[in-house]
Amino acid sequence: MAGCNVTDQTSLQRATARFTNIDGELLQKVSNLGPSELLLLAGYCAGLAETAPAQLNAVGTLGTAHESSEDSSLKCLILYASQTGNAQEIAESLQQSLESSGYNTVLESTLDIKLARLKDYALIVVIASTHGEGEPPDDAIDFYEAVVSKKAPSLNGVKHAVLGLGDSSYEFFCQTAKDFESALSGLGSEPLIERLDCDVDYQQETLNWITQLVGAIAELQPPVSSAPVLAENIIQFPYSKEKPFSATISIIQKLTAPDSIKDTYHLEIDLAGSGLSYRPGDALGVWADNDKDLVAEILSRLSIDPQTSVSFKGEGHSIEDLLHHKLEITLLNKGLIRELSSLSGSQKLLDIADTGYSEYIRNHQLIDALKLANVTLQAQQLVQMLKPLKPRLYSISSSIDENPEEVHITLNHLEDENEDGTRYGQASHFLTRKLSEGDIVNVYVDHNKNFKLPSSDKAIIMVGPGTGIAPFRSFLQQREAEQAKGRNWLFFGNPNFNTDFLYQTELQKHLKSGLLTKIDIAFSRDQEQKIYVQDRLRQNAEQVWQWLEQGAYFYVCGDMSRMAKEVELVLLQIIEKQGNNTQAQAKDYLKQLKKQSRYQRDVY
Amino acid sequence: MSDTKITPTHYDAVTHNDVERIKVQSDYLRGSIKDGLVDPVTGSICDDDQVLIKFHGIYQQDDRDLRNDRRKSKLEPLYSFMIRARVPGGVANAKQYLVLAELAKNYSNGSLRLTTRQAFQWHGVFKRNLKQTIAGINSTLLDTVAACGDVNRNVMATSLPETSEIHQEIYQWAKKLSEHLLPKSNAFHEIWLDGEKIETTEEPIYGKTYLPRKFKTAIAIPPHNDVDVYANDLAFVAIIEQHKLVGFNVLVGGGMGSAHNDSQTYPRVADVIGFCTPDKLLAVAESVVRVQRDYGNREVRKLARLKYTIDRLGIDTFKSILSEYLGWSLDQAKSFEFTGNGDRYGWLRTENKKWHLTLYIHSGRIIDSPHSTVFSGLLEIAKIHQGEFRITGNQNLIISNIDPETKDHIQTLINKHGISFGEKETPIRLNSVACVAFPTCSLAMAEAERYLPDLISRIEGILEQYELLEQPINIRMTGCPNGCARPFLGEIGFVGKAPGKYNLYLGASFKGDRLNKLYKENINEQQILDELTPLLKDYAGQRNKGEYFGDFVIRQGYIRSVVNGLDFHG
Repeated sequence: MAGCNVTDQTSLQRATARFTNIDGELLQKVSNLGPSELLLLAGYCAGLAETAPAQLNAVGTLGTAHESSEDSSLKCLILYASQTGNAQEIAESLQQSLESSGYNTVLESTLDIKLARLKDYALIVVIASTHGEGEPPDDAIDFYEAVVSKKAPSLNGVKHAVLGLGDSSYEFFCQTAKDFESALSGLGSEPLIERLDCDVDYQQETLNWITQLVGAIAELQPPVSSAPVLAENIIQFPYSKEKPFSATISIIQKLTAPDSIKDTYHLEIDLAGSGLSYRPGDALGVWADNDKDLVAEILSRLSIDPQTSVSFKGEGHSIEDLLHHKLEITLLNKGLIRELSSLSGSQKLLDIADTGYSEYIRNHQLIDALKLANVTLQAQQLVQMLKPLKPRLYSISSSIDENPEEVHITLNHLEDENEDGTRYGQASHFLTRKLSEGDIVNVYVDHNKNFKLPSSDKAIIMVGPGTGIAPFRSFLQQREAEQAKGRNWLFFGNPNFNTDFLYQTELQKHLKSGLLTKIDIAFSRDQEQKIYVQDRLRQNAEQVWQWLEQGAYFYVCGDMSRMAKEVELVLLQIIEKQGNNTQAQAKDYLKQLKKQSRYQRDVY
Repeated sequence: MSDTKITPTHYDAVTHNDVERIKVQSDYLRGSIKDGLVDPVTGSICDDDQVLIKFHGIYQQDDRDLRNDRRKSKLEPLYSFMIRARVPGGVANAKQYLVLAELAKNYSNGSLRLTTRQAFQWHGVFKRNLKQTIAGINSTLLDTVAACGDVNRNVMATSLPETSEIHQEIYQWAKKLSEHLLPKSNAFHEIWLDGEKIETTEEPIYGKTYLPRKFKTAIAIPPHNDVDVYANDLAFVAIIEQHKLVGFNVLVGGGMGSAHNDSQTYPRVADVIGFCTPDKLLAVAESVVRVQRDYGNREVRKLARLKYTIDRLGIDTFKSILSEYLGWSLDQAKSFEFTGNGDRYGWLRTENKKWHLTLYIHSGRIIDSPHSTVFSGLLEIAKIHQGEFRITGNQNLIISNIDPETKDHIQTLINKHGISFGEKETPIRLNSVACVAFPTCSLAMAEAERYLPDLISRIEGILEQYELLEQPINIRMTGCPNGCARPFLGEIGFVGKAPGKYNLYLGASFKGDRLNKLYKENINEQQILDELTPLLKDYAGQRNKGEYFGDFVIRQGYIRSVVNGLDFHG
C-alpha cells in the first residue's frame, strides 16, 4: 500500500506541478490525511468546483480539449523548431493573429515543450525547419527523440497542421517536418490541413498555407472577433524581390589597380535590422536606378517633356520618374526592335532583328535603337513598349558567418563603346559611379539551391576566373568559419598579375593557413601566349582526376559563352584520358557528377 | 692578437645576427630562390631569399607610392626588383650597351640608371621577367654577381681619360680585382642560367658566411677623385711617375653609412696606410678582405663595416694584422694630389687620337623626357659608336674612344635628342648627386632623385643674387643616412629625415677627403633656403681667391672641421 501511495502522490504532484496555486506544502498536508478525510475533502472540493466554474476555467487545462469538446475555447499549441529564426518568426506571427481573433493559443519552442502536455491541446501546429542533410534543428533533437519514443502520449482526437521549411537542393528536403508529421500521426493525431514543404522561396506558399489553416480553424470554431484575417497581415516576411530591403552601402572598393584593363569592385552592404540571411552560392538582387542623363537623352530624342504624366500599373507618374525607376531602358529585346522597325520603317532595325541581333546588343542600348528608328513617340506609347525594370543579380562573395549582418558582392563596371558613345551596364554603373559609401540601395537575397557547398568533409575544386571568384570567396569563408576538413582547390585567372589578382592578399592568407589546399592561376596577358584557367586545368589533369575519383565536387562560376564551355571540354578530356574512358563514357561520367550535385555551375 | 678577433668566421647561432644565419644556411647563396621565382601567388620572394638575392645583384623593392591604395584593393604591394650589373671601372662597349638598353625597354621601367659606383641598374623588373633580364645581361658577358651583398662589390676606377693608356691599364686592374674577389659559388648559374647543379667547393676567400657586411673597392688616378676613394672600404690611388704606373697607395676604412641619432654609427674617410707595387695589388686586396672577414663584427650588423673594425682595433693594430696575413709589410705611402671629385664635361681628345664626350645625365637616369630623349638618343649612338661607354662615379656617362670619323655624327645625335654635355647647366647642378630614394627604395625617408633638381633651381636663385652662379659647389642628397650618393662628402649635404624634411650638413672638402658635419636638423625647403642664404651671401663677400664653399664655412667658424669619422658627431 505504501508503494501505491507513493505512486499516487508522485502522479498527483506531477499533475499539479504546473499550477502555481497548489504548492508543495498543501500537497504534503493532503497526503498526510487518512482515507475518510480524503473522501470528505474530495466532496468538499467538488462542491467548490460546482459553485465557482469560472475560476476553474481560468486554470485552463485541467480538462483537456478532447475530453470536453463542448469547451468554448479551442486550445491550440503552436510549436516551432527553428534554426535561423524563420520558423520562429512565422510561429510568433501566427500566434498573435490567432490570439487577436480570440483563440486560446500557447507558443512553445521544441526545446521547452514537455512531451506529456501535447495531449492537453485540441490542435497542434508545427512549424519546423530542416538543417543540413535532413537533421532536425539543434533545438528539436531531444523533442523529436521523445515524440517517437514509447513514452509519447496518445493523441487520439487531436488535430495537427505541419509546415516545413527547407531547401530542395538537399536530398532530405524538409525531413524534420515530415518526421514530426509521421510521429504525430503515429500517436493518433489527424491532419487538420495537408502538410506543406516549403523551399527556399517559401514566403508566398507560406501565406497561402496559413490562409488555409486559419479557414480550417474557423470551421472548427468560429473566431470571437469576426474581422477577416488576411495572411498577409499575419506575417512580416523577410525582405524579398517585391519588397527589397533598403540597405546602406558601407564600402565601395576598387579591386583592380589603376592601369588595369578591368574595372572590378568589391562592395560591402550592411544588412543590419533586415533579418536577411543567405548561404554561400546565393545571389544578391539589386534594384538599380537608371542613369538620369540617359533618361534625359532618351526623352530629348523623342521630344517628350520629362514631366508628361503617364500611367503605369494603374498609377500616375511623370515619364521621367518612370524611366528613372521602373522601366528597362538599357537592355534591348527583339520585340522592341521589331516594333520600332515597323513604326519607323527602318530597314536597318529590321536587319538587326533578323540577322545581326546578338552582335548588335553587345554594345547598343535603347538610345541607339531610337536613333536608328528616328521616330517621335507619345510618352504613354513609350511606356507600353518598354519592359518593367528588373533587378540585377550578383553572386554573393561573403559568408554571413564570417561577416554577420553584411553581404559582399564583386562586380565589374561594364562599359562599352559604340559609334555614338559609351554605354554602361545598368546596375554596375549605378553601384560604382552613382552611389557613394553611406548611400542606400534596395536589395534582397536570391537563393540558388543549385550552387551549394557539399558537407564539410568533401573536397572541392573551384574554377572562377574574373568576378567568377565571388562565390568561391564566400565558400572559403564559410569553410573557414566551419573549420571544414575538406580540401579546397581554386583556379583563378584574369588579364594581368600586377593589377588584376582579385582578393590576392586574402588568398595568400588562405594558402598560408592551409584552408586553400592548392591554387592555380592564369594571367592571360603576362606572356606572349595567352593562358586561361582551362589551360591550367589541363596542366593539372592527373591531379584533377585524382580529386574527382576521391569524390571531389567541381564548381564553375563566371562567363558562360567561352570560359565555362572550354572548362567543360577540358573536364571531359580529363575524364576521358585520365580515366581511360571513351568519349561516351566520359559524357556519362559527367552526367553522373551532375546527378550527384558534384558538378555545379553558376555561369552567366 | 687573437683576443681582438671577436667574430670568427664560424657561425655562432647565439651571438651572430640573423643575416649570418641566412648566409650559412643558404648552401652558398642558393636558399630557396629557385622555388620562390615560380611561386605564382606573389610577386615577391621570401624574406631569407631577399637577403640572398643581393649577392646575385638583385634587390626586392616595391612602389611605395602605391602601397596604401593596393592594400585597400586587397592587392599585395607592387613588388619589383632592382637589378645591378657588375661593371668594373664602369666600362661597357657599345654592343653591350645596346643589349642592356633593350633589356630596360622590354623588362624594366624603360630607363637605365647609372649608379654612383659605376654600375648599371634596372628598376621595376617584375619577378616573372627576372630570369630573362639576367640571362640577357649575361649574354653581353657582363653579369650581376656580387653587385650587392656582403662581398666585394663593383670595383670602381677613374673614368676620366686623361691618358687612354694609363686608363686602360687601371681599368684592367679594376677588372682583375673584381674577378679575384668574386664569390665562386655556382648558385648564380644554376638559378639564372639553368646551369647544372655543381657541388660548390668552399668559397676560397669568403667561406660559408662571406663578409660581415658590404665591401667597396675603388681605384683613383690623380688628380681625379671622381670615384671618391675616401668613401671606400678599400681603395688604391694610382701613383704615376713619368707617365708610368709605378704602384698604388693603399687606403682602408672609408664608408658613408650611418643611422640618424645613433652616435655609434658614423661616416668615415679612408686612411692611407702604405704603398704597394702593381704585382702586389691582388694580394693586398685579398688580405684586407680576409682581415675584415675574420675580425669584422658579425653580431651587430650596423657596426660591421671595415671602418668600425679598424676603429675598434686601432689603425696600427690593423696594419700589423694585415702584415701578418700578407707575410710582409706595405711600403711608405707616396705623395699624391687630388683636385676634385666632380666630372669634367664635354669633348676631350686623348693621345690615341680618339675623342671622349662626357654627358651630364640628370641624376644618372637615362630616360626619355619631353625635353631630352636621352634614352633613345644613346640607343642610336650605340648603334654607330665603335668604342665604349663609361659610367662615372658621379652618375654621368662618357662616350669614350670615339673615332674621329663618327664624332660629327654623334654630335648631331646629341643635338637631335637634346642630350646635355654640361654646356647649359650651372656648376652646382653639374656637381650634384642624388640617390634613387622614392618610390622604389625601401630605405628612403624622403625624396632625393625626384626632388633635388627643384631644390637646386631654388638655390640657383640665391646664387644668382650673389653672383655665385659660376662657382662649383658640391651638393649631395640622399633619402636616408645609408649614403648611396655619398652625402657626407658634399660641401652641402642633405640627408632625408621624413617626407620634405632633411638634415643639412656643411663643410666637406671639394676634393672629397674631408667629411661634412651636421649643421641643422630636420628642416624643410624654406628653412633650408633661409639657412643657406646668409652663408652664401657671406661667401660671396668674404671668400678668399679660389676658396671652396666647404673650406670657407670652416674658416668662418660656421661649422667645425671633421678630421675623421669619430669627430663626426662631436
